[in-house]
Amino acid sequence: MAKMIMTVDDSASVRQMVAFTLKQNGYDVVEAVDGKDALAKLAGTRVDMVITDLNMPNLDGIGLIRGVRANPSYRFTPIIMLTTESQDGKKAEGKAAGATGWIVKPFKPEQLVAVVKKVLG
Amino acid sequence: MSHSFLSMFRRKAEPKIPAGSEAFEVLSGDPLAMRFNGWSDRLGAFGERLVALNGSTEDEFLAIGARLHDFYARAGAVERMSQDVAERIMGEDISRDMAALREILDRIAGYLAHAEQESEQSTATLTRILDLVSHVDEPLDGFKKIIKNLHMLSTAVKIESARLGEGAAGFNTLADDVERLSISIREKSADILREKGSLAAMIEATLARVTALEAEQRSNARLILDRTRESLATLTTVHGRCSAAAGSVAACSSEIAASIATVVTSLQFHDITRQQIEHVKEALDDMRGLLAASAVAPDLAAGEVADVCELQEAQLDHAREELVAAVARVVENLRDIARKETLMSDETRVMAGSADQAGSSLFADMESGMVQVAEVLSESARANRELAGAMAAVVSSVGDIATFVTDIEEIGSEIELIALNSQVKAANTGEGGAALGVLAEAIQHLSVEARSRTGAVSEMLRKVTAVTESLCHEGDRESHALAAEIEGLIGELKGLLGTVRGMNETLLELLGRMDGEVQGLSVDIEAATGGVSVHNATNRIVGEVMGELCDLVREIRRVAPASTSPEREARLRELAERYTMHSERKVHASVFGGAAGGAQAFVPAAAAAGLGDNVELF
Repeated sequence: MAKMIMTVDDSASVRQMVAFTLKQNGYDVVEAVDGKDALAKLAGTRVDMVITDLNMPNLDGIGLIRGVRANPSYRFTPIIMLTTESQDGKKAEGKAAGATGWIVKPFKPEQLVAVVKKVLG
Repeated sequence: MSHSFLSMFRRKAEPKIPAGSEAFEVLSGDPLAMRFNGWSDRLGAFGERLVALNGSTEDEFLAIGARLHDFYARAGAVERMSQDVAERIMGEDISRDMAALREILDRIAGYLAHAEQESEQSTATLTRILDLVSHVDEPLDGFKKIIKNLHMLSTAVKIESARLGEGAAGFNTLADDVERLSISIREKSADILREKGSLAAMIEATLARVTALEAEQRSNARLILDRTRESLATLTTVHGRCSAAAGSVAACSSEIAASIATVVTSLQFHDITRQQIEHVKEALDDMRGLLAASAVAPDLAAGEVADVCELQEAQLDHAREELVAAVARVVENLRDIARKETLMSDETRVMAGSADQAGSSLFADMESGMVQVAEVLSESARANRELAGAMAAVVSSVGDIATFVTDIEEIGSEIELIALNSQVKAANTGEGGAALGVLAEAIQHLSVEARSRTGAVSEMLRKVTAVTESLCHEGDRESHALAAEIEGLIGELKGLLGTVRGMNETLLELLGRMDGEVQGLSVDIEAATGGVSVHNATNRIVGEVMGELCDLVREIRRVAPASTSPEREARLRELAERYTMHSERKVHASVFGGAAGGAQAFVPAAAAAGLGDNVELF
């Protein structure tokens, strides 16, 4: 059974490219438009990994990570930040919140797939 | 989206931007401040245009992204078809056909050697028969003298019998017998000569056909072996072609994958430049706030607005360049996919040995060659049957001659009987029949000579019969063996032909589908890329805003020249540290030099080494 990965981004074109890349490599993908939407969908869907943007309306990436980690079922679920943000401070904040890794946009498909394979084992 | 960016340029103590000219009532007495209202309105208009631009560009990116799924799937289908062609060409069927064709080649070579040997033997046998038949004339010539002597003896016996009168009445019968014998010998000799002439003519004609057949067989042998070897060489080269073409196809596939990866990366630049433009808009809004709140030091506020506008002009230029370059990469790489797909299709055709779409292919040529070989073998079988028929006619004709041997031998016996009878009658006649005794003795001598002559003729005819019988037996045996061999070869060739034809049809069908898919994909990619205009709109609108920002900066600089102060430097440094994107920090640094502050590059941790310099795993 294919692993389910959630892509969270307020940019439809980024979600589209993440979904395209992952689906071509055999993963199932669920999309969420922001952190709030992601948490709602996580409640009803079994997700093996989350790839999220940082800056989003309603609930940003850091808030999303905190929300996900608060759920015992997702305590060890890999969460990768995919953002244009490259400041060390933000990275440290993400890491402290429970992020597994950080990718600065734009990503190359092979990079994303390599990261997914690495963190999903 | 960078919502934290909204506060990047905003001072905590600053009020919200009031609407209209009421915001600048407190500055109405200052000539410089009198301009703030107009500048603020212009900044507001620039921002609105940028917002409108940001809201209008994503649909085109999404449309291309949606088509990318389709293009990727179709490119994959073409690649699978190419692999299918390669697998079929390099599969077990071809290996089996190669082995079968090699075996057929060996058997054809064996058959041709056999047929040539058979032809040479037939020629030798026919030549021997012809030689023997030509020597039949010599002993038959000797019969002429015997016939003449018998006739003379018959006449002499009749004269002597008449002279003796009643006492030699039985000699008249003897004379008649001798006369009848001479006539019989003449007739038989004539029959044998006629039959011999007919046989010689038949043998000469058959020899000519054998010789012609031999020449034809040699010519066909060359053709058959050449064509079969060509077919075998064709099959042998298929593997070489496949290996080379498969390498090119694999290279095409890798390049297509790289192009798709570039498109995926480039399409993300919509989000990146959208954020950059959004940041510019927010910075411009912040400047409107600054203008509205700078009652105490309007000249400093104006100078800072000019500085920040100059910076935003550079940020816009950078965003514009990134987006235009990204769209160019998207278009170029999508078109490159179409080109690579065409190249892949061409390489696959090379792999299948099919240079065009008219049904011509390596296997079609091979099929044609094998059809020709089968036809020539069939022709060879027909010629062999014809030769066997000609041989049978020779054997039959020799059989007719053999019946004359018996007749000739009967003549020898009959003349001996006549000679004996004449001697007995001469003895019974007494002294008066002395002359008849002489004649009887002459007949006796003649019978000895006739016996010798008939022996020679019958010996000659027996030799002809014996040689012909051996020809008959060998011919039958060889003819049947050759016929069976040819039938077997033709059958196997037809079986092989069916396989090759099936392979050819399958390949042509696959190549046809592949061509159709590639052409359709090229058309769709051209349609998808031909309609892309987002970069033009962005280029135009951003260019216009940049131009107007430039005008505004010049206007402000005329009334509020650039100045530096520790406060300004601190604010710019703070500005640089608030950027989210490294590229924004670089632009800032390029405009304000050392004021950029935190323009360091993103440095990933060692753990993510190998994943790229924009990746870090914690």
